[in-house]
Amino acid sequence: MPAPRTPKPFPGIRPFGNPLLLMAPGLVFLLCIGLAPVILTVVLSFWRSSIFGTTPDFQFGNYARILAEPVYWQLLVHTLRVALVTTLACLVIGYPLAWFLSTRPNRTKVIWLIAIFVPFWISYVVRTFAWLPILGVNGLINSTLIRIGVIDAPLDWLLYTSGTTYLGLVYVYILFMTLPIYLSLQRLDPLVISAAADLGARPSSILRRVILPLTLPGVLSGSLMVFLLSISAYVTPRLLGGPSGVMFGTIVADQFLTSNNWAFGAALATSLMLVIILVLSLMAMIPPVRRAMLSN
Amino acid sequence: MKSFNLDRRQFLAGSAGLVATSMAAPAGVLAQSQSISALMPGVLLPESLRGPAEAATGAAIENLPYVSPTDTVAKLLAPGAQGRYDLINNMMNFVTEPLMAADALQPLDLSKVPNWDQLSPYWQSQAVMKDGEVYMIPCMWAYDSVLYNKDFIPEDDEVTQSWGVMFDDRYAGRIAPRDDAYQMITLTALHLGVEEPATMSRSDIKEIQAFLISKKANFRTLWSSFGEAVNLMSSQEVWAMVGWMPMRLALQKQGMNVTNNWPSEGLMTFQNGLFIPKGSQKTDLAHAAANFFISQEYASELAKLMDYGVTNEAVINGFSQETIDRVGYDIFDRGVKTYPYTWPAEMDAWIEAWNSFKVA
Repeated sequence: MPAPRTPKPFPGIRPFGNPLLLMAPGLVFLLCIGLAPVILTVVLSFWRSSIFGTTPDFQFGNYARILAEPVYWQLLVHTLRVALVTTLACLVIGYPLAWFLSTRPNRTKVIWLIAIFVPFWISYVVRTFAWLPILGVNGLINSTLIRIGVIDAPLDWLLYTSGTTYLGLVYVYILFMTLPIYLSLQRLDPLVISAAADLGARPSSILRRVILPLTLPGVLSGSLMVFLLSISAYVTPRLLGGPSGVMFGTIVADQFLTSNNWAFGAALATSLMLVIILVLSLMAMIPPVRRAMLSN
Repeated sequence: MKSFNLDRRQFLAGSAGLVATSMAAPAGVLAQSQSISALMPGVLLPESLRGPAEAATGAAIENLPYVSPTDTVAKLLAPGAQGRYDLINNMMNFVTEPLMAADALQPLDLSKVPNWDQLSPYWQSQAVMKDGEVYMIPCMWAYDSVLYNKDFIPEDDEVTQSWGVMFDDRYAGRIAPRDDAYQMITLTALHLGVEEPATMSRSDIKEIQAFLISKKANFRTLWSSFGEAVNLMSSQEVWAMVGWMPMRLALQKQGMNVTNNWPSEGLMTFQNGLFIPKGSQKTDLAHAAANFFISQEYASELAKLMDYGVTNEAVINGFSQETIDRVGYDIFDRGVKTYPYTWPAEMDAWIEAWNSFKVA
């Protein structure tokens, strides 16, 4: 029996030209703009740097130093934890928000979408700074609570704690979770939900067995974006996190900007990249995740 | 609507006229079309001084992005860097040794820097010289100390006259160190009795790191920029922090009851110098700019705007006693113990120790 033919992606449209040539501009862009800096970073990680310059070499001293110094591993674990918690928090908040958006009537949906987008038209650094007068000892929340007699003295823990770091990161990255889930929900056929209900499925069962599996690609896409953005974040933790507001990205930046040790900075960046690849590979081994990744 | 019709003949005639006009323009107009590439902290070329600086130079001053002294050295020693920069203003304490060792600077022609004669004899003696020629001219100096709010930390508290105010448990939660490995480890080492922090051994650095970690709960947050630091004090989020002279001025101008300490263990000082890298093709213009940056006009304005110490003798002599007392321009005369910034031999270990403190 002959194997079934793969359906044409664009039925009715005749292809023209050599596909490889047509793809050439995109491929050249990807190789030159996308991959070249990554390759350069990996190559640089084997070079030698002193504070006054970098010289070509091929040695593993930078990686040996990363393995030998516990501070880098501790920071890596801390960074992974922050990124994971931020992703989960964004998911828990972003999914209901996306559901809310997708279930609005068309007339009001636009208004809600604009309302959610507007803060993101401002630089995220500025938006992060905006938390300082809100959460500070003399900030809006403390002043209000003191004025209405709920507290006698300002609450110090509102700002410059790990909790504030999470708050800032979730605030900055929530849109990257909400939007893909919203698009998945928009594509969800309401008749499927009706059919499940008609067949006697309870609401919790419909959510668990129908809606969540069908929107999993959106959830995965959002989670991936938030995780990758959070793992490389360093401005928000530094501004809001207090003395412990440090992430792996901070020490990478320190190597480039303060100690001028580009080779070691490149080794740190490469290590982070390898850990991210490892985490994503492990995630891809989970069957539902794998199915969603391979599906259209 | 009126339209313009321009044929080829008219266009060529017009163009020739424009060329002729530009050739006949005065030299000053031409000079404005020239530029030099400078590398200096933006705070040393404030907008109010850019116009006078460019007029005195006879060229636009393109101040390229400044990062740090080490970055400056790296830029100057990078392959192909020769000729890219015309004038540098940087921290002499950190850059002199590597740049002179690499023979990266050219001697200055003092006949093109007439304001050299206006420098105080002390600051002339601080110029970097080799084989009787001047390579770097000091143009400003400053110190870093603890800025504190007298409304919360009494001036007569003895600890204010020590780096120890940064670690005092009575002010826990109201202190802000700077997110800077060099400065924080230096001041902690000085506080713990290390005479020469720059030459500390790795075990000494570990001790400093342990002490900083033991005091971490006392710190509200770390600051890394001018605006962030000033905001921390003005919002009363913190009562004391390591700070710069212009920060103290900015806070006092806001009406804050802020002053600085004179740490008995040694006030951290540094001086900036002007120099011309080898390979500059615009040395005449660079000399003219350097001449302006040690002039009376520049020095008096810089002191007024930033509280920085200057090297021009007429400006130094013109300070009122009130200004000298307020700013501390006489620290060298009244015997305040100082510790000049010195680049540590084990800077990588310092950065690792500081990161360990932050991760702890």
